[in-house]
Amino acid sequence: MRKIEFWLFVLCLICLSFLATKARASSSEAYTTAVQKNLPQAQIAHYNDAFEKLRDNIWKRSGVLPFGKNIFQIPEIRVQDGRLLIKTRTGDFQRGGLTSRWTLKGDFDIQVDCRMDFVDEAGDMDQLLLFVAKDKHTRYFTVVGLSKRSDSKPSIFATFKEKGEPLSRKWERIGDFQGTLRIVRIGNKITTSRKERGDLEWKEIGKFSGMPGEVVVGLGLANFLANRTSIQADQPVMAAFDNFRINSTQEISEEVKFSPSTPSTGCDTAPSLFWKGQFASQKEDAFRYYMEAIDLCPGFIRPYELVGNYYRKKGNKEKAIEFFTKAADLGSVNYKLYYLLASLFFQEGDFDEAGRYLNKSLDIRGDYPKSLTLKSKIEKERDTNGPKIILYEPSTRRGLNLVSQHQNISVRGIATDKSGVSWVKVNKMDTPVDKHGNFLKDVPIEVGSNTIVVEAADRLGNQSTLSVTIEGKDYALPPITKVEIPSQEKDLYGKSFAVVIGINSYEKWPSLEFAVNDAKAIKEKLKESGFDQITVILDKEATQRRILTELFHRLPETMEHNDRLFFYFAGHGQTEDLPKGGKKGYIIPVDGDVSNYGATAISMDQIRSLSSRIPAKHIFYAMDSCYSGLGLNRSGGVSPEISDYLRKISSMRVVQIITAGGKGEQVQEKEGHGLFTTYFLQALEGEADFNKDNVVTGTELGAYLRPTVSNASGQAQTPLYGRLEGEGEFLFFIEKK
Amino acid sequence: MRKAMACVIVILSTAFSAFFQGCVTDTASLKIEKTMPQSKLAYYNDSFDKFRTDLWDKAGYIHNEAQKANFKLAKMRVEDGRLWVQTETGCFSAGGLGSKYTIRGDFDIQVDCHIDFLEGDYDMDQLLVFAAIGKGKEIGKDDTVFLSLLKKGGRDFSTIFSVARKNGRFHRGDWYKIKDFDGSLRIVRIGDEINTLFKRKGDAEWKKMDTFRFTPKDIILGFKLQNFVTNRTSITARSTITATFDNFKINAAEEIVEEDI
Repeated sequence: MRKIEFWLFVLCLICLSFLATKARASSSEAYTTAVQKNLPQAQIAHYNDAFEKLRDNIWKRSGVLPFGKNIFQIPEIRVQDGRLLIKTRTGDFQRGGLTSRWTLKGDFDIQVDCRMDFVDEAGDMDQLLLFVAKDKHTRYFTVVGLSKRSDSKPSIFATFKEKGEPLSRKWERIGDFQGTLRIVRIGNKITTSRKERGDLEWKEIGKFSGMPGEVVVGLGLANFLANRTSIQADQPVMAAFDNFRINSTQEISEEVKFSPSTPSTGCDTAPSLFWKGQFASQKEDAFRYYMEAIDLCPGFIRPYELVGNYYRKKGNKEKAIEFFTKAADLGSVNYKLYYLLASLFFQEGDFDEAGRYLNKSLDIRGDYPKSLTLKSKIEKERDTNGPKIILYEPSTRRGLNLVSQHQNISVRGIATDKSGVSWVKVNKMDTPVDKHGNFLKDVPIEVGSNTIVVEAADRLGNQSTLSVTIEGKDYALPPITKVEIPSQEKDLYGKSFAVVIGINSYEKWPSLEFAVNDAKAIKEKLKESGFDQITVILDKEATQRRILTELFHRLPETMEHNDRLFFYFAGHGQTEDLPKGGKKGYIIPVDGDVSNYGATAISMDQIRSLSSRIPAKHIFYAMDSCYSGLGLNRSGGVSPEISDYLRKISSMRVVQIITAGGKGEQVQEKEGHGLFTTYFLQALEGEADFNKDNVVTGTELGAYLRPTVSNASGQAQTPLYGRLEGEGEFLFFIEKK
Repeated sequence: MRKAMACVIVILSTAFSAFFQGCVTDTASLKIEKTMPQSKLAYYNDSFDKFRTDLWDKAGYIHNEAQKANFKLAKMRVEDGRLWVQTETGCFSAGGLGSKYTIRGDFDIQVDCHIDFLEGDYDMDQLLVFAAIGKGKEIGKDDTVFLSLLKKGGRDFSTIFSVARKNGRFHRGDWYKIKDFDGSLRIVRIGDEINTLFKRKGDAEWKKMDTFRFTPKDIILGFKLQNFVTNRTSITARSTITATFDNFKINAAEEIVEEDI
């Protein structure tokens, strides 16, 4: 009887065990059957991942959980042997993995295989594997995972959190784990379960309720638990994930991508490299970072200064001067740069250059003690005589020149001084001087005796004077002679480049209405006129760095000697009254400062300096903005009556410029364009082709626009035209009429 | 009776005064003895009437590849006598200033700042930092003290906190929940201790946050605004964030070391 009772008891146990297993199995099967209105597997399959490769289109690297006080780093994440491997680095708080770029809506059932072999005697760190479902506003979280706190025993857990605070938590002890974790939501109820390798059935870990909304999924690993305040982390923690699957879901939404209004450029990331250089412990590392910053953003001034200083300290004066000079050309306002350049030239015995750079340093900071000390040293070495002046035109040896009262005469010559020439004036008029001392100035001649006085001063203030007398007589205009017209512009130019800039929306200056329209219209007109390399830079793109990079880096590298460059700028201009007299003109880029345009705008000095780096034979700057301080020469260049005129002027180098108006003038607008640009476009339609040779020269353009724009604006705006260097002519080819 | 009332008032006011003193910092204990004269320090003070390129380099540091792939410098401008920093949208964005000089030995520096945190959930952070960064070690492995204002993405509250990084390892200090901030941040180093303090506009006294043990050496100082914390790797940033800085002041400094360039 007892035996029968025993066997009945055993049979009962077996039956109960079978029923319990069956019940568990059916409850887990119920997850999938209970998810109503499932998407078809064909739609879901795209999001399943066997981790054959890292799929950036469905996952992004992240910290997985946004909560916790610790500042942590993302661990190493890679795909290897068909599995996702995450491995923490030692010595730091590490947490992270992948989160989905998509969200699940409504009911869902997801699972992932994972493996975690816990490190024994891990010491001062924790070990944590995470399978996360969080609502997209990061308020609610369901986390299923494996954890081992420091040297305690490992456990498997499921927790439900609101804003990082656990509302409910279930856990049980476990060893190393190889199996599958699963999260199922039906309504707002979450069920978490596990199945270890070899198990047939799912085992529930915990059930929670109250998780609404769209859900983001994450897989991750950490070497710390939330309340850890310090970490040693002598060893890495590693986990593997595989076969992520969405068994069922009601809806999947893709992440909406949000991009910046303009793409980031090398100039955005270059400062980060610069600061890496600043904090590098080795000078060579710093040098490397600065050079990388220059590669990324050639208009970024500061790294040139620091690379120059690196070479200076190494004793490489030549390279130091090269990089310092580049920084100066780009418009540096660093008084220490100019002091260092001055001291390098002083060491080389070039007191003129030393003095020139020292003056720049003292212009920026007049009380810089090092510059003041160097100044007294240089002055001891320098001369007390004024510049030597030689006149080429008019030649005094040829006696008197006969010109009409309506004609100008070009006064051309050279002024030289070992201290460097500071300025030249012809008949009291400021006259531009190039770096060799060449100067050129148009002077009106009246009937009768005319005295032309040329004055020059060196950088120490020593002055000299030369005068010549001209007899002016009535002069009849010669008949217009037929000039040779080239069959096509290709005969005269290699490539035709244009940089067209228009800025309506300034960051700090008042907005303009038509500058961008003007730029677009100019671009179209240039296309018709044979320009084949047109770069258009509008609004936010037109930063100081971008424009300087164009002038300093791209054009000098891409242009050749037989090319022409047309540079157009529609935007604000500014004129600075210099403390020692004179004016300095600026064009204002989109990021130009209102008060500090000296550092944030682009000066005429820079434009002049950068022009000399561009190998093109003809450069024309058209600035639809009002400013003075151009340092222009309004010479007429070569007379159009000479034979083979076009070929002659096209073979001679020239840099010409025209601006919409002078200091204090307001740019006028007409019919959706600036007045200047309206007439500029008309000029290129042929209105400025005075001699009807189907070519508009730079001089013709100036002669047309100056009175036309002035009259049309009621003298509110009078363009300034002139040459920055050379005697050639920029040529615009117009359609034959 | 009147005497009794007077006694009560005196006792209460003494007690209140004692309580109040307990809440604020005894700034007298932060006095720096060895300092350059104000006449020399004044050159380094900046009221942001114009952009002082002789004092500052623009800053915007990136910490990981994800940030590098989609980063734009924040817009910076000097306007109304303040430095304005505004982050860009749709990307990681940061902007601020770092000093061109270093400070050696004891120092006491402060800057006014103003930030109104955006409310709600954003897939970005809102972080304003005032920092004293030890020179000579790579960023990340340096010795630095940060005094920061932060609203992390997903959080519905913002905090002021300070943290020290020594040999690249973080030592978390105190933190308080705050709303918007309009006031001054201050960092004072005396010997091998560095203190962080703040004062809201209108407050009479400084409130001390933390004291960290800090290796005395040359530091660069800086402040910045950014829309991401160090370890953020993805961002949406549908909105800009804006902060202003003003009246940077070196109250005291043992020595200021100018770089060659």
